[in-house]
Order: sequence, then C-alpha cells, then structure tokens
Amino acid sequence: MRKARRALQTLAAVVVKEMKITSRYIGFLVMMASLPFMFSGMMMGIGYAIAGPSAPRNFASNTGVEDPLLYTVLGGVLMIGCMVLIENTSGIIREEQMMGTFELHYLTPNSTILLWLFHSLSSALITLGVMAVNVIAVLALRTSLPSPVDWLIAAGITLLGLLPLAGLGLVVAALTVRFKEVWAVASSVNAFVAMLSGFYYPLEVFPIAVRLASQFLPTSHAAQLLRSLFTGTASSLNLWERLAVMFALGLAYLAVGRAFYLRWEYAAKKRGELSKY
Amino acid sequence: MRIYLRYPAWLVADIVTTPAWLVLFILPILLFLPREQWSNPQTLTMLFWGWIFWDIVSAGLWNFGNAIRREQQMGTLEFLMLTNASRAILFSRDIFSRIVSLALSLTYVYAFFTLLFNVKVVVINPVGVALSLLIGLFTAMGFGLLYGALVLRFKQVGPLNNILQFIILGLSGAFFPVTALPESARVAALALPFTYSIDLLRHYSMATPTLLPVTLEFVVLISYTALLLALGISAVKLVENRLKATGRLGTY
Repeated sequence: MRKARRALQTLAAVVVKEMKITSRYIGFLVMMASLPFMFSGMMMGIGYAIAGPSAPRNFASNTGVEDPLLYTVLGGVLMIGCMVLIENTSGIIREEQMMGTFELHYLTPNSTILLWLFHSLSSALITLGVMAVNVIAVLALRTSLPSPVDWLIAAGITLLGLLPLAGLGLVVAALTVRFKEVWAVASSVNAFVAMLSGFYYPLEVFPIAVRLASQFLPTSHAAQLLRSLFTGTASSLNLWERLAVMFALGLAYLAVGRAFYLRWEYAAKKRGELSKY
Repeated sequence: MRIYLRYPAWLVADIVTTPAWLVLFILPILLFLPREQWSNPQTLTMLFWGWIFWDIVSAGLWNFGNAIRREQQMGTLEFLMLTNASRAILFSRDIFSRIVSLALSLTYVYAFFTLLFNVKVVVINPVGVALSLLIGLFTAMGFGLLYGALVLRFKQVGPLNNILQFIILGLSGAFFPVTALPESARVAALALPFTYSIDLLRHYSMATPTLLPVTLEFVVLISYTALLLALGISAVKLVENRLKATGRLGTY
C-alpha cells in the first residue's frame, strides 16, 4: 500500500514537472498540434494536384475511408506522439548526464526505471491532449463528435499503443549511453516504427511478411483501432482481442526495455561509469 | 567537412532510414491515385525530384537559416564576430558539406526509389539537372542568410521553420507543376526563387515545359539568387551592427 502510494506521488511529481516544463515552450505544443495538419495538407495537396477531381474517390477506394483529412490527421498525431516519446525516452539518460543531474535520480528512493517510464507517460498524456484538440478540430466540420465513452476508449487505445514504446526507448538509451550517438539510433528506430505502423496508409499495401512484422508493433494496432473508432470503418479483429494483443505486446516491450536498462545500469555502476558521457 | 564527417552514425542512419521515409511519404500520396497508376514513371519521377528538392529547401531553413542562431546558442557567435572574416562565408560554410551530402543522398535515394517502386527515374539531361541542383543550393543559401538575419534579430522562431518549409514546398511546386495551383497561389509561386529551380530541374530531367523560356528562366533564377545573397549578406551585417550597438549580440 505504501509502495503504491509512493509510486503515485512520484508519478504526480514527474507529470507536474514535465507539464510545467512543456508549458514554458508553447511553441513546441503549437508545433506538435500543427504538424499533423501540415503533413496532411501537403499529402492531400500533392494527391489532389496529381490525381485531379477523382482524388477523393480514389482515396476512399484505396482506404475504405471517405475523409482523407481525418485519416491523415489522426495518423499524423499518432506518428508525432510516437516519435516524441521514443526520442524523449531514448535521450533522457544522455540529457540528464549532460546536465549533471543524472546521478541525483539515484539519491531518491524511487526506482529509476519507473522515473523514466513516468517521463514517457507524461509525453503520452501530452499526445492525448493534442489528439483530442486535432480530432475535434476535424470532426467539428461534421455534425457529431464521438461520445464520451468513445473518447475514453480512444484514450485507452492511445496509451496502450504509445507507452510500450518507452521500453524501446529504454533499450536505445541503454545501448547508446554505451555507444554515444543516441539521436541517430532514435531517429532510425522512429523511421521504421513509423513506416511499419501504417499511420498514413492501410497495412494491406505491404507484402505479407512486412504485414506480419507490423503486427508486433502496438502502434500499428492503435492506428487501426483509432481509425476504426473515429471513421466508423470495420477492423479485422474485434476491439477486445486487439486490446489484449496490445497489452501483451506492452508487457513484452517494457520487460525487454527493463532488462536492457538494468544490465547497462549494473555494468555502469560496477565500472564507475554512471556519470560518464 | 570535418564536422560533417565527425558523426558517421548520422550518415549511416540517414542511409538506413531512407527507404522507410520514402515509403512513409510516397505511399499516402499514391492513395489518391487508382492502383493501376501507382507505378506510373512520370508521377514517380516527379515525386523523386520533389523529395530531392526538399533537401535543398531544408538546407535553406535548417542549415543556412539556423547557422547564426546555432553559433549564438553555443556561445561562439561573439568570437566569430571578432574576426574580420566575411560573414557570408562564416555562416554559409555548410554549403560545402551540403553539396557532398546532396550528391550522396541523390545516389542512395535513387537506388532505394528504384528498388522500392520498381521504376527507373528519368534523367534526360544530367548536366542540366546538376546545374539546377547546384544553383538551387546557392538560392537556398541566399534565402538562408536572409532568414538567418531575421532569426538573429527576433531570437525565437518557434515552429516557423516547419511552417515555412511546408509553405515553400507547396507553393514552389516541388512535387507537382505550379500550373496545378489556383490562380492566386500561382502568383505567389512565381515570386519564389525555388519555383524556378525545381521547374528547371524537372525540365532537364523529364523534358517538362518550363514556366518561362529556358534561357530566360535561368537568367531569372541566377538574378534572384544573386539578389538573395546580396540581401542576405547586407541583412546579417545590419543586424550584427544593431545588436552590437545595443549590447544584445550574445543574448538569446
């Protein structure tokens, strides 16, 4: 009971701290909210310029969705949220080391893994907020917004889709503290996660081997479920089956991330390299 | 060049991630076409050159445009300003590494593009293509100097870089001819120097018609580039003198 209360206090502290820091840089929030629209605008603009008046009909035929703006904005929010989370988690150790505050985390009675995961949770919560704003902005053009229950389900799907990536981020962080070039590795991970998650296209366009690989990404499930939820298109698995798959993937990702991180931490403590960067 | 080659991981990451970014960008656009047109060589070649041109526009904003601010944030701007070196050369030194990186990226993007989309990118006049790209880089440099002077003056640009990038790519017709734009947007497009650069690039690659007669378009582009470079150098000098007079050179 006491452990749980302490964990919640730590969570609140980290989230409040991250929100305060984020609120200092409104430009970042504006960019995060506007980038999905900019990507969508560019893709739709190019698509319409190349395809002419048949563009919307072709899009609907290829994706099963009538509204390309909603489709691409939703994908864009998820993609950017995913990239921010991976980069933040991958870079957190290196950033703290460079600021000279990394060792201070070890003076607290908290688990350092929990601390880094709570950072990721803050990032995911910001993504939720941005998604809500962007989706409402697009859906406001229609007659009805989703129900509160739908929003709750969407929030759950987004969190289940994004949080496991923190495990991936921890792997990158642990490896790159050893090998130094964290941003290059995080960028590479981001590129392939983004490509395989199908944020901007249906995964059916890929060959079967690639489609199979994408099933191991929680974000690919999140993208399909959220599209199905907000656009009303059918999904191949039912909601609860997909959520179960995502939950299992989440546990696996976080377990692997934890294992990598603990291994690096043990080796770094033994060699006296905890603060070395 | 030394700085560029000091971080090989970035170069490797750039090469390794290129196919992923290509798929992520090109596929959503193809969704607006019927399936049977997804392998159309004309369309794909146009998208290929648009992708390469994006690199040039990015150079203008992120490399040249942010060069001054980067020096400021690293605390080395004042030391550079103590020298009697040309400010244009100081803040445009990235041009050399950009020429190398553009040549490199052209090679591996071409290879991946051909592999992924099963299409041979058309290049009718390689010399004309190379010239268009090179002038385009200098255009980006001139634009970047002017933009960099504004960044130095106003400090925080927030998401302006990203917004400008998309506006320039859209208006200059990087991925499609500007004739596809509405009339009002076309006027704005003709005022952008990048429009002529990509137009010439497509002309020499795919033999597409140009907005103006070819020679005239070259003259317009070179004149515009020279003007931007001159304005950029003057703007940097003006802002530098103003900031020195107000003691705000190092504040950011």
